[in-house]
Amino acid sequence: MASGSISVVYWHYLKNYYRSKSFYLMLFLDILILGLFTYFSFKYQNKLPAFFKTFQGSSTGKVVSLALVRSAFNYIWEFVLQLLPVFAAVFFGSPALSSEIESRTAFNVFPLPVSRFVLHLGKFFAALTVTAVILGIFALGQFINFFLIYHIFEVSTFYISILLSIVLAFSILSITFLVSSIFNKNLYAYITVFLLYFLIFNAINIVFEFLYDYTPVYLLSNAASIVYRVYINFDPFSFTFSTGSISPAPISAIILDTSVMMLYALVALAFSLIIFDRREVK
Amino acid sequence: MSRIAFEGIYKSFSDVKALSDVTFEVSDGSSTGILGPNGSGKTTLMKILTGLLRPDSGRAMVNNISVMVNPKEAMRYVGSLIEQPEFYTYLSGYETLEFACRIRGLGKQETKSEIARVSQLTGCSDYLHRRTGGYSRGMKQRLGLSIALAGDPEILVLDEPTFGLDPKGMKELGDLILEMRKAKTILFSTHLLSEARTLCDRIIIMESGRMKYDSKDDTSMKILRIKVDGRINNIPDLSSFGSYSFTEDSILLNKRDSVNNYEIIDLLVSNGIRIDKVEDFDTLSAKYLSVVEKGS
Repeated sequence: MASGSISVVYWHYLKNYYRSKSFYLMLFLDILILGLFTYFSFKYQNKLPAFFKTFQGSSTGKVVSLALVRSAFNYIWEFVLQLLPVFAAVFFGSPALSSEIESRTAFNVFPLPVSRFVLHLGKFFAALTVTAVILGIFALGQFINFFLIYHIFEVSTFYISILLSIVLAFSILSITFLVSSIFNKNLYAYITVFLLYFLIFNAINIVFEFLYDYTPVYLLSNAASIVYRVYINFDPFSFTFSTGSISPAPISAIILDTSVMMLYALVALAFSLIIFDRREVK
Repeated sequence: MSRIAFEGIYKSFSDVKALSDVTFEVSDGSSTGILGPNGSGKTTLMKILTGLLRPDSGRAMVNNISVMVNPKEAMRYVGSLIEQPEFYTYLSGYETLEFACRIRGLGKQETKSEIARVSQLTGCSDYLHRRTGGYSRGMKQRLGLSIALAGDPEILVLDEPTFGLDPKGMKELGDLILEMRKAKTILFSTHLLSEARTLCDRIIIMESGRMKYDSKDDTSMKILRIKVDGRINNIPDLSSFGSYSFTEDSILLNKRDSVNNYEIIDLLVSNGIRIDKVEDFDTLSAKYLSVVEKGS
């Protein structure tokens, strides 16, 4: 019965999401970035070997392998892909619960014989679906561009990276739902998630890296970099350069960062479910 | 049998006491009106009954199920319209109603026929396929009422349901409530005395979060004045309702406490008498006037 209700709630909210202005705005931005990157990829791909010779420093003079150039291509695309879940999730997740109060839809939805738990999960998975659609369109563009330029399908790492971006979306979305469950105003929820992710996490990162020469792996913003580090294990936002490498991130790093993202997701989701369940509609 | 029960409900918002020791029961098949000026606690009480708010202490029960302990189970029996309803703007009225029906456990085919039934009742079938974002206040109110009726719940909780409706809409909705109260238990809030009189067989007046009057406890005789359209030629025997007298165009009835107005009206109408106006004169009018005057 509960799964039946979740399915009803899920489809209801999914319809409302994909018809919303937020979705079309996000879709427009997605396609715009996709167009820019397609242009960039075709124009820049011949310059990648020269770039790597500069980057490798002491390795200048060595032949840059085609495999590394291909990894760099995907690295650049994935660098954008790890930001898309953040923006998409904030767009779709931040107003998810607060808007029920602000727009007063709660008055006719909450008194229906359905648990808040089901309402929350149904809406959460609907938001995750539209976020995944935005990611999927970009990833498909990356996939096609890669094939057109290199005439091969690069599959395994590509799938892992896409999967990790979905995990990241799941995690960010959980946080946005948690923040949204606290506030009555959508705007507060938007601002808080952006501040948390881009300002507070980065501030903590800077403090730890500069003062203690230590990268706090448990920060979501650091764990998110695994989306592109599966190609080249280098984080341009890290100040501890010694950890960088042109090799793909090892399995242990993938497991660690995935665990961090899942931990954020599950803890945030659990708290938002509890808060939403106890939420009063004044 | 008690369908709705409030037991010692207290609720505060910061320093403001919204409800203090509210206790009453609503019996099966009755239509109870909560009457009071703005800020008297009517909506807060409705919100507690529908699980939107939690009381600081006390219990709200539906069919002996605690709303606080098992809201989902309690709400199976309740259809509600709380405050002025708003809907997801990118969905149509049909999809909004479909959601309510499916949540109430109706299958796809049942949902179709149920939407047709309730939209016909509330008069919103003409614009049901338009997105709710473009609805007027009155359209939203009718859709909100349709949601409350969807799935045919036994109990209706209606918070100022005629708000935002034009006079024609108010009349239609009033007629609908009168029709529904034959089969359902209705708890209804309003700040209009005339509306409460017409639609309810029991009236509770609230002021500053407290119950100030309950017509159930009012043993005084009620006087009913019925003005008719045209001349009275053939009046039926009304003695079973109380003692009465009549003039050319009006009937004066010293009504017994247990008698409902609609029983009298039904009898008169079935005898071909066209009713122009029904007026109750009792302690209720005086009580409400004093509450409103104090509030203002």
